[in-house]
Amino acid sequence: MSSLKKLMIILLICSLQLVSGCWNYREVNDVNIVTGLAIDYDSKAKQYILSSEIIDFSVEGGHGEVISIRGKTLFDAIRNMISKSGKKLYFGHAKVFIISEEVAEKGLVPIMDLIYRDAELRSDMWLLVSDETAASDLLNVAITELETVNSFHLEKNMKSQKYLSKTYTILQWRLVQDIYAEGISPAIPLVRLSKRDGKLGTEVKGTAVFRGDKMVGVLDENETKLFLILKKLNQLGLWIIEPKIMEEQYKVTLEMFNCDTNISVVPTDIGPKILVDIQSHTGIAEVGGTVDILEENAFKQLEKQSEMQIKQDTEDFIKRVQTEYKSDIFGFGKLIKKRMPKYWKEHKGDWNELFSSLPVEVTVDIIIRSSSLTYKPIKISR
Amino acid sequence: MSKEIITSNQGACIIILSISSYGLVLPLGKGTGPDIWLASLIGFTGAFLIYYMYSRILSQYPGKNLFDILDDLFSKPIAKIVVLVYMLYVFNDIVSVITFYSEYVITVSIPETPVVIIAIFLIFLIIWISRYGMEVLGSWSIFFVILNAPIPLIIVLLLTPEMDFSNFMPFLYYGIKPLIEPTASISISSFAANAFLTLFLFSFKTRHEPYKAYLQGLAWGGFLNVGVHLVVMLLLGPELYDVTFYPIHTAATKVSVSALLQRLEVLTILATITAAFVKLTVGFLVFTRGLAYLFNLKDYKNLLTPCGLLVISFSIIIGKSRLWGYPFPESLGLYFIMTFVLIIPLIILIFAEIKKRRCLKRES
Repeated sequence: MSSLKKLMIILLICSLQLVSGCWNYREVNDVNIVTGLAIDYDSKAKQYILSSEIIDFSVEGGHGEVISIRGKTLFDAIRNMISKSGKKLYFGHAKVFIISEEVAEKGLVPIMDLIYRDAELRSDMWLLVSDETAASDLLNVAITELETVNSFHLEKNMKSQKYLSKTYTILQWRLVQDIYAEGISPAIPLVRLSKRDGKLGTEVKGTAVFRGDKMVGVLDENETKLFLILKKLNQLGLWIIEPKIMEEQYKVTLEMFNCDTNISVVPTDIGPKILVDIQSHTGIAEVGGTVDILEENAFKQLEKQSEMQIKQDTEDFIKRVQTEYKSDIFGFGKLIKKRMPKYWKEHKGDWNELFSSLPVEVTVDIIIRSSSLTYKPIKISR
Repeated sequence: MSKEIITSNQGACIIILSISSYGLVLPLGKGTGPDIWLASLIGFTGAFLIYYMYSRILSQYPGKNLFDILDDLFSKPIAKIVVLVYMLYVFNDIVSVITFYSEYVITVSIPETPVVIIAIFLIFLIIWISRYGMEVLGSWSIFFVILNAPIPLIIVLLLTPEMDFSNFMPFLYYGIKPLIEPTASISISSFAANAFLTLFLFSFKTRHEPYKAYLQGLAWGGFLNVGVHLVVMLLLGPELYDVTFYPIHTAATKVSVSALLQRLEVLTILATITAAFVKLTVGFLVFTRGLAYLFNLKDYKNLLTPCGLLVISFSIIIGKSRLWGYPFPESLGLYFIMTFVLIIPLIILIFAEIKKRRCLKRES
């Protein structure tokens, strides 16, 4: 081997030792791992208050600790946080981002920009809005014994929403997508404090409605359920129907096996009209009475009345969003842009006004497929 | 000029990697919105015509590269002027590419590392492989295509459930006119410009090998790039796709198959850097050989290290910001590239055809 080759090999080995990992080499000991963020706004001082939940590894299994600090912008607050935590923060594992109502009403763009732009802050964080308390309180609450880090608990809650159907879940980058797109307004789940066995905990239910990037209102639990159906996201929920059968009112719970929502646009003389077609295969899960629901007449009445009730509820809900919030969270505008591009080009400027008077026709088709294990109600014998 | 004959397979692999270099980083046909599929289809077809032209130039002169062809077609001073002009273009190209990739790695992954460190390592490797010439680069490319090409495909397959096909609608919302420039840019900047420089280096034994190398390379490379970009657009939506600097990297961050498969963006960085390495080596070889040609030097190898240092210093001086592109407005960029990769080669082809016919006439 020539001396030059030997020198090259020695140089290579030296450079491997010296430069691998480059300047960004970080020890786990040197950073605080952030699992969740919450942001509030102090309108008097015109400053954001950022709270981060960081994992304290000194406790076995890790434990969430919350630190809060102020800053003129979000990034300013993040940098200021080093002064409190002592170490640099690492955001690669942040799972949730809680926004206070005040920040949401002020506008999301100043907050969302950094998360979408920055390479370290992940844009696949779950977003939540806190409408009752300060956002930081939600990271601070007592933690269940099963989950020692609050943000992880919230993340699991978000991921299991497909079985729960209590709120509409959204990732940060999907929200940016909705803010960017024409003819759709964003919506974010609500998170509130709740009491569990005397201890404070968090509960996710309901949805915050936005117009542009500003929060304009909230949907309650029932409205959220209908909203999810219109978004084609509620597949496994329940329909609670109160039909009047044989002159008596009962409560019947229908279990959804699937729910297929088809939203289409038809052009009319006065503009586009939205047709919402909901078709759901269900089974009778429980009957709150002694009526024989499988008797032909009663069964027909149940089907008809459940269709009518769901249709009425959906129509009322859409009307309320149209008139009260004037915010197209359903994405009807986006659909019109795709199906009637010419109309959209002419009218996109005043879409918010047009949306509130947009005719929407709802048709509901409930197919009751089964009655589980029994075909007769429980009979009370004297 | 030293002749290094490569096979058509090696040529095709170099072209696939060169196309992927920018293709796996920058958005394709920026500004086309939902009509990206139409623009890429037409742009892809246009690129085939341009690649056909390149293959035709080389197939007229088996065993020769563009330096030899220029020598044969024009008188020495004219050939040297053409080469000089190209050397300025190539130099600008290498400097901006090396700055771009160093910035890319630093922006997406290691923000505290100085830009120049990445550039120094890249240029060091480029000088090293350049010493061994085209054959080694050819074999290296065959090896790395096998490693490189599946990476974007895997990411795309994992993203399929998130795709929204309605992002392709409405069809021609802004009309045809705004599509023209992005379509031309797909043909010229995305496909032609990345492979054009190989004309100076490729020399094939037979007449049909250039066609095989160029058209096969474009077919595979183009298919890979267009496919990946269409999926990414369907995922991000036309609005986000247009405003994102590195759409494929951004899309890769969205991969999440339970908790097992996540953060695959590092794979896209690896894929792009290896592809960029080929593009840069081709450019660098052309630059050093061009200088040797201009100054009538027998061996270009002595020029490698000084040229490498020159590229590094320029990338530090000129490439101060990633937003820097050309020393003139961005809208002129396409016409600038077009002059070099379409118009001048076309003129060369016309001269070659005329000369060939004259020769045939004389013989008959």
